[in-house]
Amino acid sequence: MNGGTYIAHSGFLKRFVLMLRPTAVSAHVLGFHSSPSQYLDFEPDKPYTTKKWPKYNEIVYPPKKDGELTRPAEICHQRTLIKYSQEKMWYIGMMLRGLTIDEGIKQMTFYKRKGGAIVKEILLEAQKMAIEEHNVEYKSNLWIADAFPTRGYIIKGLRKHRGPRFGVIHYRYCHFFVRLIEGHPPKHYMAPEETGNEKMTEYIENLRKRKIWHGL
Amino acid sequence: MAASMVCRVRAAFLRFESDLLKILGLNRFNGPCLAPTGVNLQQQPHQRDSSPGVGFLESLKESVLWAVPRSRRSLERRHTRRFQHHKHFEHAKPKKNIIACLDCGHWHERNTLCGNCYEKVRQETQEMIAAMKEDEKVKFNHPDTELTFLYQDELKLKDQFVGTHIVEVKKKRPQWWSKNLLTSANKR
Repeated sequence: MNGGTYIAHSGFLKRFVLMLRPTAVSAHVLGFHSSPSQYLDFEPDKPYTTKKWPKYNEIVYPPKKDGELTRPAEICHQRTLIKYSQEKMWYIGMMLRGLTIDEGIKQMTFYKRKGGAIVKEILLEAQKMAIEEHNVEYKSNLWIADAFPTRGYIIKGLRKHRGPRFGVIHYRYCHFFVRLIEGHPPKHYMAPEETGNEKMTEYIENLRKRKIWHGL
Repeated sequence: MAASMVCRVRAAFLRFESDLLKILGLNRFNGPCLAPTGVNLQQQPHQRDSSPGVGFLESLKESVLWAVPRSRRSLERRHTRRFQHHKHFEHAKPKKNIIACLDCGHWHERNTLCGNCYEKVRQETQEMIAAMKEDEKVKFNHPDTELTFLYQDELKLKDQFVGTHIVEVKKKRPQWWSKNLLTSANKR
């Protein structure tokens, strides 16, 4: 999809969007909302999806050997073409990594932005998938190993200021990916901040590592 | 007042005189002060700080182009600056003030009402309002007496509320209703 296509959404308050490139009139302009979103002016035959992430669910590992620990269940879930900015979703993903699924859902309930409600739905869907498809016994016994967005389409529109001045509007889409793993989360998902003593020992070590080049 | 005016005029004149002497390079050190050794006390024309090997254009650039970026900021530095949580309004920190409601067990923030309990009360209020709207005397009118809401299981208590207008709500009173709400504060 090209970045220069137009949208002409009549419902947009106080702004009117100009055609940048003449394309066929899209369904949403005529008032039909059958496409995944009101801004996209194409109707894909199949629902748009990124292909790699769900494939992680289809990996079949060899049978467990004697003495080997049971591999914990891993559930990869995604939602594509969310009408939200990737940069805003990043903060949500950053917060969720390393939390238990219950804690994640609880935090999303009280995250007062649009992204919070969306990600809460995604987490609940993933939890449901875990029970129904991935043979997870307890729905609370999951933790969020991965939660991150990637960019989807960015559709550009124009906003007219006075005179010959125009502003470009970016209508941003993103995809959101979640990986749940059965069990308890690790104590430190991100590296913990070093204590004063650790910093001191590191400093002294670095001083001792110094080499006098071309010395005796 | 005249004296202060004269003082001000005198001060302004002295300032002008000293500035003029400075421009002409004729001012002298008045009074005792520390004289550093090796310093030429004759006022020299102001030397630029630039090194002797710097040409005219370079020295011009140094004086004209002061606050200009020296090199391109790397992606790491740009991201570190933009996504620092104490600057950007989108920073997401896990909230530590979420507690469980003692009555129903749902989560809510510490300084707020439990959403689940409030929703329950809100629904009940809507039903009471609906009953009020069906009542003939309250529908298009505002009665001059107090309203009392009686539920189906309390209709026999009508005699207790003589001076008030009774609105019948067609259901049983909920179990969670507070007893405080059933007695009037003004009642003797």
